[in-house]
Amino acid sequence: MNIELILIAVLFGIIGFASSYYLNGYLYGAFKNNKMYDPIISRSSHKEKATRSGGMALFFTFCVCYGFGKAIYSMSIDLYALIAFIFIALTGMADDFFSIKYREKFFLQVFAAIVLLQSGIYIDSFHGIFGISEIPVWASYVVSIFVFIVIVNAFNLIDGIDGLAALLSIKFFILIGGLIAVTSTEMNLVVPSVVGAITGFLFFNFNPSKKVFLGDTGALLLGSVIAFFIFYILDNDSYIITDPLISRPLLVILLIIYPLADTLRASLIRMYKGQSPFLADRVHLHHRLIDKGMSHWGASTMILIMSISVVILGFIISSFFSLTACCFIILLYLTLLYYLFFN
Amino acid sequence: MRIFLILFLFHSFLYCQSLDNSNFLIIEGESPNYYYVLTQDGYYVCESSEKFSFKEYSKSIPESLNVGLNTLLPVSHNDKTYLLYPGGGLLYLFADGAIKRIDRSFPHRNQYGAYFFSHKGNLYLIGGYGYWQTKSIITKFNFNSGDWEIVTTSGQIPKGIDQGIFFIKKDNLYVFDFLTRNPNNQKEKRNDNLYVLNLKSFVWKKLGVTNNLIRSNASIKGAKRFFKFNEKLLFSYTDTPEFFIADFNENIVEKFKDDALFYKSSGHSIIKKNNLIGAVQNSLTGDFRIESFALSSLLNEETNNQLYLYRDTEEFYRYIYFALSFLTLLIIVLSLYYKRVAQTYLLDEKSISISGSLLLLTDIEQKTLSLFAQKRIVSNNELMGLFIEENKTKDFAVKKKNKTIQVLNDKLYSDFGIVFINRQKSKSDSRQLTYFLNKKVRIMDESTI
Repeated sequence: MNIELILIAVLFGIIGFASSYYLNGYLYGAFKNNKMYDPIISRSSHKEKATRSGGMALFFTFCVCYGFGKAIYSMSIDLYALIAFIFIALTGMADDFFSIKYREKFFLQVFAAIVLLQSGIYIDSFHGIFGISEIPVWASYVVSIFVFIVIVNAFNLIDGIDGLAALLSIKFFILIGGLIAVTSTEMNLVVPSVVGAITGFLFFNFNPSKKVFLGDTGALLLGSVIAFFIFYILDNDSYIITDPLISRPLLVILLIIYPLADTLRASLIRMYKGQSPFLADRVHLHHRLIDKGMSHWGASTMILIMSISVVILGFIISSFFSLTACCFIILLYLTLLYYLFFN
Repeated sequence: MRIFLILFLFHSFLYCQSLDNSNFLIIEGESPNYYYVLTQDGYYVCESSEKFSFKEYSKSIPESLNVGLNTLLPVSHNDKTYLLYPGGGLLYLFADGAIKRIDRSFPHRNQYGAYFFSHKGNLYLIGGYGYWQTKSIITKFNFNSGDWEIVTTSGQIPKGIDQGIFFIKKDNLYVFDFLTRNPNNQKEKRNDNLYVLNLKSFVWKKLGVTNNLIRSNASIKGAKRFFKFNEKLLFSYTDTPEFFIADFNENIVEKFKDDALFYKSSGHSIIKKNNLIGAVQNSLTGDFRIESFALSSLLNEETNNQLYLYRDTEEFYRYIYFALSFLTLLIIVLSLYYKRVAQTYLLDEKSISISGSLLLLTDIEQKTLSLFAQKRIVSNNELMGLFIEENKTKDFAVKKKNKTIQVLNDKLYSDFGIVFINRQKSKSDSRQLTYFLNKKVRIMDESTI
């Protein structure tokens, strides 16, 4: 691998980490001085005083890294994608400060998705799933908006215990980094910057004396950036080096398997009980681990390792079996994991 | 360097032919032993020795050929040289000392800057720019109808190929470093990917991002020079004497600098018997001279400047190993950090807590723990200060202290599974007691913050 590229990636990782670490500390102090703590309610998994400043710190870190990247290297993300990220971060901030209603938040997310689609990067093909390849533009828009809403909210919903959303996001970005590094010269520094930023945040998220949460700002922002990269993978125009190894839709599902599976399971349980699927409660898989007596760190790392193992399994079996068989084997594996660890 | 350059130039002057204007075209010719230089009045037959002769065309140039000869795109096909009108459409054959038009088409003006090539009995024109759009179409000349037909392609088709670098090896056409224009604002954007078109199945495939070290920012609009040489691609940009030899099989590109080659390869050039033959303009007289450069010398040069041409699966696997190692390292570092901070208990006015577990404390228990939050080792006297009351004996205070610590330790152990406060006799005086906080425990007193 090109040494210069590695050094620049490491540099951006360090810039991301340092900026995030500093900003998290600074914003924690600012929030604390104004007594802006996250309220502890019955659903809360924490008893310590914590601020919801992590998302803001991540957002500002992205801005710093992007500024550096643009100035000293050819880092570039489509302008519409940047506008969508900023919009979604502002939506998150509004929610963190004023707690906006779910319906309003939903429409703001749809608007952000529409802006993101203007970047020209969206799901324009099913890549052979259900025997469908390219789809019409209107269908692409509908599917892309739906996928965006699902991913953004799935990451928001799993942000229930310390480190989970952040660690799963790190996993996603690190694994996706390989695809971006061989595909896009403009976006290959986004990954180390984001990973550095999230790592810096984690040191505060696990610190009981200076506890910081991602908040809606962080969860929505990470979700939307992840959704953008998923669009990038599923865009027919993108060159994805893993195409001979694994189907693109399967790869995407495996990369975000935990948020998707947990959100789907929680929604089904709520609907089965006759409740709204959007109701906030403690039916999530990670809450089960906590209720079993595991620490937040233990539960988060366990879910992280499990989700990495699913990706590795997916890559291995894709070389030997058809897509349908792969889906079946992965479903079996997930069921096994559920009965071993979550039941 | 200068002496070397002079010697090199002297060595490589196989012979020179002077031309008074730029309206000429060097073409390969039927035989490997000679080539032609077409001019408006006639043509030169140039042999690889110091022989050259001027001949007039046996027929006059067709009227439809109303552009400069140097704007035509030549290609050698089945020992014949075909010349394509700029933008596509009109096709000429140079044979028997004359230029003849062989098409029944019209000036398309649709594929300026396209690549004209022959492959397995067919002539193709790929890409180009016309009617305010960059094209990724490939058109094939039909020798029977005399017209051009569009070849249907599939796969990962690039969106417009203008001024690219092309290379044909076996049945594959490699394309990279080309421009695509936005049809709405005509803004140019360089495509950094390497594409390959299979000339049997006409399926496009994106191979990966080309090495950014071979792409110069200044050369976005600069015309490129590229030649097939020894089954490799020799290419450069106009603004720098840096040259690259790309080996597509090995995914290697070698970089080197050569001023003489840079000087001689400007304009249209051909390769004949491992010699690059091109026209060089005299900056004083304005005349052009045909000069030659022995490319075989490049084969012997060891550049030590090998780079990868495009990022491929090997790079990806290396990245994945690195990524997994990084992820493991991150988990280990965070785990160590968590272990350190995990035993940090938060003490407030009424309780002590740690990640979700909370224990309510009495006032005296809170004060006791607050003392340990300030310093890890607390002397018996300091601790006694909390328990001594007026109108009560010291013995009562000692008993109360011991009981409080005992009860507190039991409560903390049952909730958090760890003994907080230990006591030790002083080494110098066994009657003196010291209390100390368990090494694994850290108390943050938030009530004093």
